[in-house]
Amino acid sequence: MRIAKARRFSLTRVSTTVAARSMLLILASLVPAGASLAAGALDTEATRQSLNPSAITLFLLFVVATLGISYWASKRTSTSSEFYTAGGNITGLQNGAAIAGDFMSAASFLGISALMFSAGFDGLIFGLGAFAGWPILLFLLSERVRNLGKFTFTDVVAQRLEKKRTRAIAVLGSISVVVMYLIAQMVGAGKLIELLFGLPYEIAVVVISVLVIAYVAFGGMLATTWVQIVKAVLLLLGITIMAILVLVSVDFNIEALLSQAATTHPKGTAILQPGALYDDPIQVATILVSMMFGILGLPHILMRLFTVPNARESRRSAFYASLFIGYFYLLLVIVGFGAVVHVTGNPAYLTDTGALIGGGNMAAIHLAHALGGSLLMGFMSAVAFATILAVVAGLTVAGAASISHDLYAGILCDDKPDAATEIKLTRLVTVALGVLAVALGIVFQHQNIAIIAALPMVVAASVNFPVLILSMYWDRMTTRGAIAGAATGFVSSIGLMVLGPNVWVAIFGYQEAVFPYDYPALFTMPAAFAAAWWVSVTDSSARASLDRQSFTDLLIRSEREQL
Amino acid sequence: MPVTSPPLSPALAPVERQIIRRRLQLRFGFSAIVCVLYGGFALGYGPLRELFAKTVTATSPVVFALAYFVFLIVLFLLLEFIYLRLADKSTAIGRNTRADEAAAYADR
Repeated sequence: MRIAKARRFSLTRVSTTVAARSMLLILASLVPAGASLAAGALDTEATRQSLNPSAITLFLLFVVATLGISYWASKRTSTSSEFYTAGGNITGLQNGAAIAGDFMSAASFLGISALMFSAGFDGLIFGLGAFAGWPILLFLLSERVRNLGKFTFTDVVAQRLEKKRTRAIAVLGSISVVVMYLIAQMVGAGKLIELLFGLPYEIAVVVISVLVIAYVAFGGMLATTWVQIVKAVLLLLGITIMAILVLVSVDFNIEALLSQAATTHPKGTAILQPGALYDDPIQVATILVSMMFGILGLPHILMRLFTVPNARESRRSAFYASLFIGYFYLLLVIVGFGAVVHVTGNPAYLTDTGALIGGGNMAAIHLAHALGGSLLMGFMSAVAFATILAVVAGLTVAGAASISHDLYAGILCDDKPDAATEIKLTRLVTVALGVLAVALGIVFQHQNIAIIAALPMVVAASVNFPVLILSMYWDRMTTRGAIAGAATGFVSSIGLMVLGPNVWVAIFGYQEAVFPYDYPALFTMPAAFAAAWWVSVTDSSARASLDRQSFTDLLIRSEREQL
Repeated sequence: MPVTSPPLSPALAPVERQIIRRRLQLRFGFSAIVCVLYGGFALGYGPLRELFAKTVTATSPVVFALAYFVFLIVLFLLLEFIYLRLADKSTAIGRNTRADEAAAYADR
């Protein structure tokens, strides 16, 4: 009786420890890539693992294969178009897989399964949020963005508006998102690799940066695309194997899996229902809005739409990406509840104090070990590392394009750059971004990762998305309106994040936040739309009438290529 | 002989205008369905909380919330597939219209 009570206490303590950090996990998970999700918890509870030979061997195989791909791609990358968009020769299926590889992440895999391990169903809020943006991307953006742009979404926004000012504001949104995303990736990745492979933090961030520079500087978008495809295949393969093994353990009976999870978990049947982690619908809505619309404003995702030859392939790529991502999140339900069944209370995965070895984010890795021994665990660890490389590579291409194409070629050279100088600059910027990533990763390693991870999604939803969608779909949008919308979105999202719990309470140390929600996109995105609308309708400048007159032309071009 | 495009005109041809309007309806219609159903998920934490916590059958541990999660992912994929088919069809109609237009323009 006493033993049973002690065991139950131990389980409750594990669950409480994990749940207490779940907020950080959740916040970090809003950057749906890399290991940023993990980092919040890793700051405090991670313990470096001993070197895992199978993980390192499998990871080295991945590195050799992807460096081979980069070498092959470097022979085919000499012009700007080849560097930024792989010459537009990627098929819809390949691009869909690459988008999925760019988006699905260690955060999705480790973080959401960790949330399900600690709080059950509520972890799936993030799974749904990370999936629901893709149908909208297909319906509203995939074709028009492809038809109107050349290399980046800034090209689209600047189509009918005054080019220099619009580009400048779009570059601000784009670079902000890329840099914030990059910081979150590097800090999370460094900590995750420290955890999974036993490598010191600084070495981990340098290794990531060197590899990414090698992929991107030499192979450009072609190498990045194939690295992302390989990673997507490995991740989907890994999660499929894990889901099948979980199902085998319950004789392919999902109801039995759920019943066992409810019996095993200290929270009982509450983990099968909504509310174990959140009970405020507005909080849930803020997360859902930030996730869905954040995806639609991510520069490195939008950039992938230009790698296909036409609008038809662009919408196909959005569909295939949805298919892969949807499949991934459906399997994550099985893996998440599988972790509850196989890891909860298993002494092999608990420390002396009753905490999960390596921290809460290790639930899925421990599950891999429980199901397939060291080999599967090593494979999943190597996949987690690969996911980080693929995401950082995508971000680096987007950052390089923003600076060398949007800023240098578009603004400084008035769209007439010297081609050789532009490509040279692009490679230089790639290396600079790699160095910057290492520096930022080291500088921010002790900072609250949650705020860094939350910012890019909120900024993307509040700055990039409103400007992009209004410029393509609203005939009365003007240059001043675009600038007002972007500025409002930017200032309000940063401002409310500072007043929110992540900064006001966690960093400044106040007892209560001025603004109660972690993700303000539910409020800042409508504010950006409202500002763009108000300034546009009241704008009577000469430029405004030119902007409005150009809409019909833009409409025809956005639809015509596919007609 | 390759089909050449007529120069872009501020005034759209009626057939083309109809195609674009139809596409806009499709885009916004499908997006609205997705947004409404997606928003419904948040209601499971508010007014529909009791319903979402109920099991789908008396003996099953599967609650409506979980069923709704799976339903949304599958339905969104289905909607995307339907949209893809309709968009392909619309492209084919548009291409024929454009070829006719180009031929008429060349005759002039």
